[in-house]
Amino acid sequence: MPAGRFNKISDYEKQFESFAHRVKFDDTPDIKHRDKLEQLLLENFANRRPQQPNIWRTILKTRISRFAAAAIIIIGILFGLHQFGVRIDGTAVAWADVMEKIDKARSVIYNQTAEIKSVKYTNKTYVNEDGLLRAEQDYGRILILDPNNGITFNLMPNEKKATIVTHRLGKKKEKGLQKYLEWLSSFHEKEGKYIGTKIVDGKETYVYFSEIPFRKITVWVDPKTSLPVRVEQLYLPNTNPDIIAPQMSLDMKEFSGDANSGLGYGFSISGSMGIGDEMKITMTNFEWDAPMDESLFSTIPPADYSVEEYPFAASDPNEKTLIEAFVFWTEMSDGFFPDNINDLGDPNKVKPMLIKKFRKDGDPKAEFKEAIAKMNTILEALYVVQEQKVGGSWGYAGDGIRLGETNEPICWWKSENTGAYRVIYGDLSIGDSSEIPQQE
Amino acid sequence: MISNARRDPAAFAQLYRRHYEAIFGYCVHRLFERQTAEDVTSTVFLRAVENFGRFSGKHEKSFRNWLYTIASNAVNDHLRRSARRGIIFKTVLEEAGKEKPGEPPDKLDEGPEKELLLLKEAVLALKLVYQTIITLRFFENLKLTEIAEVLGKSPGTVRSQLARALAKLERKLSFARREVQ
Repeated sequence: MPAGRFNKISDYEKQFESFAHRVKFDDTPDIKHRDKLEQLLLENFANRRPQQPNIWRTILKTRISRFAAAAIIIIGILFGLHQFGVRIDGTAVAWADVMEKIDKARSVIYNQTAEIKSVKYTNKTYVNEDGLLRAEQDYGRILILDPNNGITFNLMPNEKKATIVTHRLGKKKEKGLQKYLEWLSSFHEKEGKYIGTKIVDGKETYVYFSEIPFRKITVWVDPKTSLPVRVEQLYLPNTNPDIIAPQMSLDMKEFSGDANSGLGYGFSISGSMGIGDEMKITMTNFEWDAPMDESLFSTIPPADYSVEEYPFAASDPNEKTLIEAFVFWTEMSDGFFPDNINDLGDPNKVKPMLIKKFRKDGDPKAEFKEAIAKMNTILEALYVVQEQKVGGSWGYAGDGIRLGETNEPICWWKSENTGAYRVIYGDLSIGDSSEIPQQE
Repeated sequence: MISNARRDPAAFAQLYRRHYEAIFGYCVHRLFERQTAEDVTSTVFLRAVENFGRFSGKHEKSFRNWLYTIASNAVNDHLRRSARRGIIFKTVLEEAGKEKPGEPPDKLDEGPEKELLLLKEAVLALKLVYQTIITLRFFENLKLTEIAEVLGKSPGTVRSQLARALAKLERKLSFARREVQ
């Protein structure tokens, strides 16, 4: 931009500021309205639903369950890990021994506690040599993950219900238990650090620490076995308020009208950018190489259980996912694109759209399925966006733009492959630009 | 204050009182109509109560910016949902004496009411995001970094959008023509 043009804008800014100060609004608050609203707020404050965890949402908040619900992402991350082969100063051999011992182990059982906003959730987790995982939740439900076949299986014994979610598959897996233990990922990505010894349950342990963006992991190792006896993971939220966690839940009752339908579905996508709340995961009572019956990992529901199945798309989320989300959004908002791209993750906006679109007083289960499939698409699109934000090249200008405005850039990001900006326009066409697109 | 307000209604009420005037003012400055602004202000604080659990900030400044975010969304929802932009334009024309849109009155010095009408017509013709930025910057006196936090954008993007919004206003306001040309 030429300097003269910039100065002109600066000058005009001053002029407008002066003009703005002269304008007189009728903006003196009405005390009656203020006090009346205060009463209403206090009534709402008192009647707020207690912050009991939405069970499904809670499932998704736990690390193990994030693994479950976000299998589409996590599987890709897990199997994309580099082999551990780094020597770590004086303790390299010891830690390498730990990794080797983990890799040779055929199974592991441990107790896990997740703390989120001072609320604790616990489960007992089993992992076998094929990477199958079973988590027995403290509230009675059982989660089984089969990453080999892309299956998340939930058993709800009290309700005699099962849900089967089939996900896309990630890259072909490598063998070895350590490849399946997501909490070891930081030690794959970055060198760990030996920080000394500590007594745990009356026994001396070696303590190792690893830190990657938004995550700190401490591992206590029994020197006699070279295997972990305790693990703590601290997940730190990204301090950029614009980067949000794609997560949402939807209840069957919103389609059936039956408050006791008992079926809900939540979806959360976890990545490497520190999305979500601060969370501390503690794993204890490790039993390595404990014998496990194959039936623990069966994804065949008991005969007397009702079953819900939820298949999902078979490709990674990408710009087409984003366009699909825009198509839905504009259809449901008189053609307007979102004011803010993070609106895609705002349940107060998205859920009414889903209900309006899919609740037709037909088969509530079928409608519910359609709604959650669309919800997932929207959240996957949001994930694509958050990734680009972390990369620093994301731009959005859809506020006030309607579908069909051909020359209006809605959003853009820099392609890692070409270095050019990928741009989605108001007619949902996609193009490349060597520069950040200019809005009209 | 924030942590107390999460569990103590009296503390929340105190917080509310400290920010009511700012949010109401913002709504008036966006909507140019105090009755509608009161309605939207109510919506803003009810949403704030409902979603207070999702607010993760610890400081009152973050809370204020969070309220501005909710208020911006509520105002934009209102304008879009009720097609109020069109309605307001009609109202402006009636109030301003049947001038055509885009052709504001020649004389600026006919008093504060005229200036308000000029502003109303010019600002409401902008895209919603520009309206938001202009109001936050010039009527709520927020810094660019604060506006960026409210809108979830980078300060650079806000700066750029502010420049575009001002350029559009410059074309719409008659005083700009006189003084800049």
